[in-house]
Amino acid sequence: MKATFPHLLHLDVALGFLYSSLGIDVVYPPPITKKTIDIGVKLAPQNACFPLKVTLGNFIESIEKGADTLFMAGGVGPCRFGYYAQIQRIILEDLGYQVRFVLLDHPRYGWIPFLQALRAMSGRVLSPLRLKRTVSLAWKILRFTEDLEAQRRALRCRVVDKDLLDNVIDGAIDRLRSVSSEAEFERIKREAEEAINALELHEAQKLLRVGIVGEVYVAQEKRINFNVEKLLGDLGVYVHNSVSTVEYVLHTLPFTKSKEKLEAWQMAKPYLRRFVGGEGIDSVGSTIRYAKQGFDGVVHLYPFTCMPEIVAKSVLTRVKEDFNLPILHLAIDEHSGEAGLITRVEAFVDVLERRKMNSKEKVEVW
Amino acid sequence: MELYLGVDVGSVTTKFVLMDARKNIVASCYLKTSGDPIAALKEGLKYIKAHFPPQGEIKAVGTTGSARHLAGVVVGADIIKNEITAHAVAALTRVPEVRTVFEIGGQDSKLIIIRDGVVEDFAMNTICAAGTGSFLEHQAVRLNIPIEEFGKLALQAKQAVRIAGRCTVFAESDMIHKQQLGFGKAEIIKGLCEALVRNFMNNLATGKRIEDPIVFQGGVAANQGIVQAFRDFFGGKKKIIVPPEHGVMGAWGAAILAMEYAPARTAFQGFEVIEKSFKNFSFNCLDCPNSCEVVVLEEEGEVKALWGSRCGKWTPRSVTQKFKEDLSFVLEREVAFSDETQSSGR
Amino acid sequence: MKKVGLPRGLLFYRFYFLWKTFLEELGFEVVVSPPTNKEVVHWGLTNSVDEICFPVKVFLGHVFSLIDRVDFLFLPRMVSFHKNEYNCPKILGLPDIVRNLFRYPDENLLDSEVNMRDRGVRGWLQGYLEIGRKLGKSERETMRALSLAEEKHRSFREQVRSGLLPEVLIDGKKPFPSFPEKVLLLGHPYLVSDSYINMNLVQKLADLGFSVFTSEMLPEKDIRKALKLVPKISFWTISNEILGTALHFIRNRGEGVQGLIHLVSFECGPDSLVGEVIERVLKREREELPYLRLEIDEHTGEAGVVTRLEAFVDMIRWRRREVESNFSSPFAS
Repeated sequence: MKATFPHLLHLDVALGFLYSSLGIDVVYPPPITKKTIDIGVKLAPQNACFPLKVTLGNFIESIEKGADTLFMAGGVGPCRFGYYAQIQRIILEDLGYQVRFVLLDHPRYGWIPFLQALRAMSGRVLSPLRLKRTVSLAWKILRFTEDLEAQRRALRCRVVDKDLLDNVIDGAIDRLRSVSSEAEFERIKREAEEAINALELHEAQKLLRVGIVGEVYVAQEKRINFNVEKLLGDLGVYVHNSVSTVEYVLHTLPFTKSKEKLEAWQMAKPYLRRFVGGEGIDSVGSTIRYAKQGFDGVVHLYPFTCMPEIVAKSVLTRVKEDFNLPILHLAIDEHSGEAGLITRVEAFVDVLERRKMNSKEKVEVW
Repeated sequence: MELYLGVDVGSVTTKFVLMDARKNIVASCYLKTSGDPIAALKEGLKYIKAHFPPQGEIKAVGTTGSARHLAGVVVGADIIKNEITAHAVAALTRVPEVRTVFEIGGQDSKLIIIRDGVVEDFAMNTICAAGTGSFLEHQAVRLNIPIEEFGKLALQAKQAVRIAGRCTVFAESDMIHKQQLGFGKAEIIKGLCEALVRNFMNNLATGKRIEDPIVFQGGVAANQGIVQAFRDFFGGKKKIIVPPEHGVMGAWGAAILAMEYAPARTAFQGFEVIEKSFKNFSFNCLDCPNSCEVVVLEEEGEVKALWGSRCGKWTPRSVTQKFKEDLSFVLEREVAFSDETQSSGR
Repeated sequence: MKKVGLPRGLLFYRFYFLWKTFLEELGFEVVVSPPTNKEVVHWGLTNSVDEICFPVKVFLGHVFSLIDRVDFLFLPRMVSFHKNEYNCPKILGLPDIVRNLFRYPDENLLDSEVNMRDRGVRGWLQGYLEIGRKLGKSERETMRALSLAEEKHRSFREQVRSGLLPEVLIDGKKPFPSFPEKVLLLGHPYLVSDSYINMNLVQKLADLGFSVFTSEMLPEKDIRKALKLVPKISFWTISNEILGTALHFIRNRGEGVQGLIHLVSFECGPDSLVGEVIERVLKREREELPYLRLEIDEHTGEAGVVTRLEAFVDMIRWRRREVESNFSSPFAS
């Protein structure tokens, strides 16, 4: 068995470690490029959402590298994600690929397939203690890749040498790919933190602060969203992203809950009273949280036609007015042009800057 | 006399504005880009040079528009700003109490919401040209009417024919269909104007509160038929202002921004630029499947700037004689590669 | 007598008799928005975010037309009316969309949650009891009204099953003529039954000599039986009904069905995936069945729809001649 899985930012680092440690032969999907997107767009239904297309591209590129087993998660709706695997399966069947789909779906659709999928994904049998260690180290790796990205976002606006920042962080993520023990992981982590602390920073002036909200895939996957975080950072904006795979996984597991998400849901309540699938309610709640924390603006990233996020967008029209908070909605799909997106992001930052200048002037007048 | 230069290079037209320190326009021009922004830039500079006041001195330069970075390098800009901000700044200068800006250019359109002199929200149509000037030009050619006559004809129509379709191609087929049904040219043109306004409003204005005064700018604002269609759309209830300098508002905004951000020494390259030879070409970097299209600007045979490489590996600094040799190799490889893909017929 | 507004859109076409009877039995005057027209669409377009699908925009236009005329808006949050399934996220969030876009006061919005996904019938009752409470009615009054309403609803569904379209029953229109040859018209009821949105599609088919057969005319048990053919059904009830009906007719001939039209709203999430399954199963199992996917939004031109319908009908007739006389058709590839 040669197993593969779709990309989601640096999820491949943690998953690769996990499956390799369990003795599963892993085929890493090639990085998402224009080619990946082209393949997915060509084969997937025209009006399907963009993540379905890109992950289909991942699968096909992996199959061409020799993968014969596809690991994928399912879902219970009402967002389309839970049905991706079914559509991808039928497309791959029609193309004549001889591959096996291992679908980790909700036990609601039967305990037997659920346990079978778990069994297929757990490779060789380890002692409970070793299994626990392996899983917990994979979890740490995932958390650390997210931390590194958070650091990159926060520091990009202030760091003197932006290329050096990228080198430090990309280098650390690359080294994580070959981790084999807890001790090694801790060493990489320590060295990366030292390198980051050693970066030369500009004086912290009154920086603009922008929060990112949106759908879990597009709001994180830099190779899909034109790296909006970098664009903002290069314009001198401090960026925080409320979307996180760690929190997503925590919330999906049956025995844990994400505090972050629950808090956001609570904050969304006056505007959106119920879960509407995907991250719709998170987008609303996190936007309100940013408003209360005094952020200058919010960027809302989601796949074009994403149903939960369109509900969020409808609701956010009022949040925008009530909190007097500029929000830039960016719907991403294969037709999104880079030039237009850059123009809109730059104009958005101008809006935030001018508002800030004006509010200062107003204070002085008082 | 302190002067400020604003340059707006769009996909269809290139605009220049020379402005004095009191924000008055001293000279301006409006040219076709015709797919060659560098030629358009030189032509614009020639015009500005010919109309340059004696004892004038350029203190700062601003560029905007889709080719703002290229223009910034060629002309030498102190500030490079996106066209949304530039248009908003110019509208605010002309009509300080403005609350909404409509801008319809050749290939894109913008809507800007302004409250208390600050941009509050904006929308930009980047997906399709159904609400833009090229849509009208295209139909004018098809109907065999000079575009200048277009607006006047629309005003003559008693009623409009409803032209369906969000897409230019579909609108065109619907228009032909209506022609075949025997509607007159004037009615069809009025229908086209209404379709453009409807598309503009549907694409950009949904969910936004449009308050007046509305400043309507961009090349299309010259068209009486469209202005009337906007008035009709709002049932005559909103005040729509078309400023006299509607065609060059972006460039004017760039000049105003240049004045705001004026450095101690301007980066302006001088009017010698007109005499210099520039070369603008692109190649596909094939080092990874992203196959970025890298755009190169050469001045007098020297690489001055590069754009479009996502990983950032291509920089003027990395350019050497060797790179040029490599480049010819890359170009050859690209040709070979494209032959391959065609013959394999996937 | 207080007035309750019932916007004519989305699930209205499924639950109109239930809702109307329920409210009237509770002693309210029901105000239904007028059939969709140009003005309603315009209000919908100007009051919604641009990316939301056309039927929701139309629905919001209907809401807008009622807002100033009624004391309450009836907008139960129809999370689910089938065990283990959902409605689409936009329907889940509909009350919130209305509340925020129109700044509609909470106390006048009847948006209690009706959710049968986990709790079955109890979730159904709970929702209606809560609406009754909000309107100041006792549990007994509410239950009485609900059981009368359910009776009306059942007889409405029976009549639909016998071949009458919801719009005919709701507005007392003259039924469409009946022909032995039928087209399987699949699509959400708010597309199939709103003649303005679908540009009189049913009438146009009748003019061409075809009646329509919809997923609401096929008994539930047949739909569910057909759905067993796919490894995992979707989690959207109405899309499942569409899928089940398609699978049923791909496998079994009957009802005089000569071809299949899938009427889709341009940005419909569930149908974007379910439609793909239908198309692929069709290709695998019964490629000769004429199929047309008709996408509709606010920009759709009528001329294009007519052209496609006529071509589709031609295709049906060519196919038939081909079968009868082994005559090769221009469509045979």
